[in-house]
Amino acid sequence: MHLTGLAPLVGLVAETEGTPGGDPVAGRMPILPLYGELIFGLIAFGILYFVIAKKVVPNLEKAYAARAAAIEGGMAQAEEAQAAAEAAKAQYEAQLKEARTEATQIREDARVQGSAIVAEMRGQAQAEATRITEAAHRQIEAERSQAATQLRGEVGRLSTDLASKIVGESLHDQARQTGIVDRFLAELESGNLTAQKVDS
Amino acid sequence: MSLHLLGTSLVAPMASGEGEGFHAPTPEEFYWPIFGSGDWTFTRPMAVFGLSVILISWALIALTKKAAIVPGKGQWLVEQAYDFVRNGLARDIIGSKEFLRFVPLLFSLFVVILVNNLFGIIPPIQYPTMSRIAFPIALTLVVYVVYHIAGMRKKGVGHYLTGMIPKGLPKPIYVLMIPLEYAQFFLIRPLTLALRLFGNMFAGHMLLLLFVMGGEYMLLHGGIGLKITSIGSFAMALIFTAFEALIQFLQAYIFTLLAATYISDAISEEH
Amino acid sequence: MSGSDEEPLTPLQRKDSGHPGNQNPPMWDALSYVLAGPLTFGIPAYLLDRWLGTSWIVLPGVLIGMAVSLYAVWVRYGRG
Repeated sequence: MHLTGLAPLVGLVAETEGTPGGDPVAGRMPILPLYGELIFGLIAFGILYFVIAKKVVPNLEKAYAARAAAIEGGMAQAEEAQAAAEAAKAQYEAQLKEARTEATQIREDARVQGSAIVAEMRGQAQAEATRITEAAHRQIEAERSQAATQLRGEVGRLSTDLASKIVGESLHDQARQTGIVDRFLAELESGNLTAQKVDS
Repeated sequence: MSLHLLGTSLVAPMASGEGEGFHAPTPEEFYWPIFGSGDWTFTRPMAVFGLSVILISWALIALTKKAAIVPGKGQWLVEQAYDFVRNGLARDIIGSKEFLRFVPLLFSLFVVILVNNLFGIIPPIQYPTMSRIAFPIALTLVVYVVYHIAGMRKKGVGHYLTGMIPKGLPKPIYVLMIPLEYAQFFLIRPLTLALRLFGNMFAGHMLLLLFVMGGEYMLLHGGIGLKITSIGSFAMALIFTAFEALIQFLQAYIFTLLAATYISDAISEEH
Repeated sequence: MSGSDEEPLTPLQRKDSGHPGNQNPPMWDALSYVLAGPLTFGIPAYLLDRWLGTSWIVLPGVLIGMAVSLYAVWVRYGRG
């Protein structure tokens, strides 16, 4: 194992420093630093670190925090909105229920009222019918009695006429005429009409 | 041809040599001084890194200033990256109790590495800063100091040091395991952390340079056959550019992931 | 790492304040374990070789390092 190249590799030996005619550091091994560059690099990086640590990172963390807060706030807001929506829904449902019971009440009332009206109407109609019937009855009765009276007179007259013809004498003026007819009719009604000899 | 421009902009000015024969890209390609000399040269990667810090700072502040609850496009994009590091890496690995104080560091690391890596393929920069070892070392140093100090502050130095060794192993094995674990925690981890990032960026950029410079050389100096072949070389450069984008993101992720892991290891009670 | 340890918790975080850290090291870190053994035991062995003027110590050093690395990987990843 040949390791003689190791020494310059790890910088133990600074070889080839100074190329002919050039800058003495131009030919320096590429893994050996130019001290100016090293120090410049440290200072420049220090400045960058300062800028990033004091300005950039706080700004970014602020944005992070604000965003997280906004997200959390947004969630709270959403919850609030949801609660409000739920309250509105409950209220609406309560109102709906109320309206429904009210409607049922109204319907019930209407039904009761309707049936009352129907009953009343029915009563009225009944009464009217009864009244009409009674009136008719009365009229019939009146007409019947009138007819009976008239008939009785007629029958009396016809009978006397007939008897007069048979008897050959006028009975019309007889004072007992009325009694005879009446008795005849009474017997006719009672059914025990018997032939009688009319004594004069 | 834009690819030709891409080629010249990738090549450091001092490396375009005298032009006899093809020069494969060398590590010197990455050294690109602007002014000064020696260790105190101001180099192009320094300019790029500084530019990235200014750009990132400005963009992040501008995009997150409003901290809107409903983010705009820009803020949303930043939040995606931030969320990825904060919740996907830091919180999951470090645990939700203590991760928050490390989030700025991890987010800075992720963003700065990602942007600097992506500079490797974004015209007109096209230079991955992390292919200069100094920058991965600088970032690793920060992570190294942070995780050791966090661990020591939480557990006390003694308990922190003994907590690194896994318990319940057969006694003789500790002779070998103790040096290994300490080497691991104090040397190998930072070494691999820096070298992994550096190596991936360096090799990737080297590969792109090879294809682009090869294609350019064939196009300019070759015969008709080579000129045609150069198309393939440029096509490979394009394909590897897309591949590089993936690697660049992955390396930013891995660096941040491992930084979070090391912090988590240092402050966790159990091992 | 800074003075202000106690930062105010975000609401999201409060909901998740009991979540423990992930104790399993990611696979990417296995590389450092694989390298740790050969380097930890190989470099001292190499230095020992140079100091003593020999050249045989480095090989067993690296091999032992590899074995310890594999064992450490097993301890960290294999035992669950």
